[in-house]
Amino acid sequence: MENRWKMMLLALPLALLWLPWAQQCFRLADEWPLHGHSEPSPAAEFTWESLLSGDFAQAFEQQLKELTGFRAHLIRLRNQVYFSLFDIAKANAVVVGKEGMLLDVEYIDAYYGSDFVGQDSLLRTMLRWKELQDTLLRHGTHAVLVFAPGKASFFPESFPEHLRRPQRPHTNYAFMRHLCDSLGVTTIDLKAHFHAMADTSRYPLFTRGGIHWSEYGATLAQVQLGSELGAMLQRPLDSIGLRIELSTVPRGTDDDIERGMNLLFKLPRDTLAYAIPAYSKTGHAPTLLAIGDSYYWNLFLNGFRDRLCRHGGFWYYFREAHPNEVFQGRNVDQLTLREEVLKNEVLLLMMTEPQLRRFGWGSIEALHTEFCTKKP
Amino acid sequence: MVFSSTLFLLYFLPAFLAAYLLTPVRYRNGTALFASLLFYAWGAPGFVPVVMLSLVADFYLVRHMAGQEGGPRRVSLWLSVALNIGMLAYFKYSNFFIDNLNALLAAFGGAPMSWTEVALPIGISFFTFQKLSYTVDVYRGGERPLQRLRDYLLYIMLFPQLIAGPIVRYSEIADRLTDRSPYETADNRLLGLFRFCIGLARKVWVANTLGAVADDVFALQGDELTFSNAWVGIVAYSFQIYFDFSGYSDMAIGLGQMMGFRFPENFNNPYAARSITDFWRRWHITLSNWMRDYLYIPLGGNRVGGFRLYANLWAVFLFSGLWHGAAWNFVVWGGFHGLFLVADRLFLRSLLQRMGRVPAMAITYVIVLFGWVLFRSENLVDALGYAARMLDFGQGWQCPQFGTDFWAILAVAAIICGSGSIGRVQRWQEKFLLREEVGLRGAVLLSIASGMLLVLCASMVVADGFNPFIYFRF
Repeated sequence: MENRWKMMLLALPLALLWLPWAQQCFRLADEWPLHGHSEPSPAAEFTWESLLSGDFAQAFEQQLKELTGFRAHLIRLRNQVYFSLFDIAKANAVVVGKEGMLLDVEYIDAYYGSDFVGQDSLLRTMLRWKELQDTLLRHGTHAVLVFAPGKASFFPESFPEHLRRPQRPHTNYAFMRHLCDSLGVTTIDLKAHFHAMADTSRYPLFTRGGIHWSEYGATLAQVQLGSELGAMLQRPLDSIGLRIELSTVPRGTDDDIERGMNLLFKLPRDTLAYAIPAYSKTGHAPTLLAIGDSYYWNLFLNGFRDRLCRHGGFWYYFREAHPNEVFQGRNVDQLTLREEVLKNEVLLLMMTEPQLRRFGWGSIEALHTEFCTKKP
Repeated sequence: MVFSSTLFLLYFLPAFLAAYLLTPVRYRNGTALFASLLFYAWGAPGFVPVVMLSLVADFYLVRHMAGQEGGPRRVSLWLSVALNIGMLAYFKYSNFFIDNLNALLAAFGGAPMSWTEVALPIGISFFTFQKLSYTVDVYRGGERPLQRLRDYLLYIMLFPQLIAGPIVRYSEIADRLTDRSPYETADNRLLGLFRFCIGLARKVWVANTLGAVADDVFALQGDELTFSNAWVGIVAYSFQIYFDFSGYSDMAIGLGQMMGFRFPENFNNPYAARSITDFWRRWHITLSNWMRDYLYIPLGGNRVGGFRLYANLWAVFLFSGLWHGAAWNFVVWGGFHGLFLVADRLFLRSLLQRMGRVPAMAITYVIVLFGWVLFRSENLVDALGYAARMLDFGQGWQCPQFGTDFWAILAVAAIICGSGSIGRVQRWQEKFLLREEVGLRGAVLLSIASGMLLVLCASMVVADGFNPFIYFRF
């Protein structure tokens, strides 16, 4: 009898070894999808050479790992253990700051100026942009450089100790701002605007679990952009009324870091605000093309492109062209730059602090070549 | 295939255990042999014919030797030894030999020898020594040779200990090779499973975490490698290699126990050693015993005196270093330990004994650490540079910035290793490791603990390498 009990006690943990296989074959339970971006492994190609060299075995094992049953659960378990025991986020470039503030390492580097690309590089870039700005203006298109606020610069007190370091003399943002002022580059500094609001804002401009500005912050950014664009074009855009909804359930990108961490349990919830814009429909709606990073999505998807502006296109990292109905699924490199840009009253280049070192992802150079160097 | 891989843990192992347990007892050796061949072939299919050929040749050679006396018996012995040492020399050391020869030729202005590098069969160092121990034990008359080729193949190729030991002497499992049904109990299987899970946890949670930092530190160049980094890095490495190797041994012993085998213990709290002599009684015990019985004793052992004894001791350790790897830093590492063993005999051990337990342990550990610098470094120049940095006390201590997981796991590793010096803990360990029976309450605890460890370890194994960006990065 005792032996029978022992056999059952042996069978129980052994059965755990069989569960992933059973899940893979019979789909015993739904699996939570994993968030974030990682490249899937290439398919293992069987040849006698690859078998004998061991390459096939290696590739096959990697592929098998990605197909294992309950993989998502097991990954979430590992991630939860690391987060709960060690305050470590198992997502690339994510760090857990004080009081549970989730931060991206790149933004911290940008805050300290660790990613400063050098005065000469920035000067060259800004001179090109200035020349482009002036050239486009002659064609009736206003080129505007928008500085979007990075989360880290708002919460330096939350940085984990091991990432704190002395402030470098220059940051890309500060030097570019200085160049913009010196060269007369048209800018909209949303970072400065947010810093001015930081202490008085009723609701969080950044959430604990998001990389980007909060949805509420993005709506305020939209309002500010509309106001400044109207002043620049000397034709006011729609005024925007805001209806506030409060919720402890994050919407949009307000918990994108948290989701990307792929934990087992949700993090404690803050009360977040969602400002629902109402447009007056009395103002001018400019045609606007934006080149930007992921911060622009909050604007693009929440009325900026098709309510405040007209036929607003978005060239994401100067690679993907959105929306599909305007660009027919083509990428930016398949478009005629001159034709597309000149369709618009406004060309917006919006970058957050860690992206400044990437000089608009090649857009400044490409557009400068198109408009300032190339003969039409 | 490694034990801490998804393929082994969640596919091969459950399939093997099911097949093994469902196979009638008299066919289980066949099942285990088939699984072992598959295990080996997965990692190195090209070497399977070579290894099998050498095993078959050795089996019949030893069986033939067992039936001879005198001179012909000795000839057979030396033929078998030559076959095994020859294979090891060719596959493991020929590249090293040619590289050094070419370096020598270049120094004298000669043209290098052209040579196509030879690939190394997995586990060759381990199974060669097992084969040699079988040959010599049969020659000495201590054991009768196996009658069935299948049993010999199983003894050598049994997958739990094939790749990384322990080095199992034939005498240690001879009886269980042919009949182990009295030991194939639920108790042994539960104990074995728990031992496997402990080993897996030591490998994936402790060794891998500490190893990541050790790798980073050893990759630092020039001034990036500070005094503090160097010490933290080598301490991390000392725990990495211990938990990795002993974890692997635990897994091998546990898997063997699940099949009714009793493999020898390979580690006994080595960082609780109070001298280098003591260290080698606790570290890679099966290798130390092999070296003692098949090399040191035939060279004269303790029967010779004075200079010859010390020379033999040192030579054995030079050879041991070379066994670990075909590179000069391994040879120097072996020689380094050999020197301290000689020093122990001369004066050092009695000096350490007089100093007391804790100072003796601390000094021995520091000596071992410097040895690990030689073992871990890419070459002798790097090793000397690293050791010099460890002695650069003028830099002062500045706590390196490593993750909380590293420091926490380092502390756990240190506590586990340190507790091994406590008599009560050692006695409990010995009592637990020798068990082949467990009560019902103990079985419940083992079952729960094994289940939890399996899930936690599987999470580490499956999640390894999954480190996504929040968004796609262009």
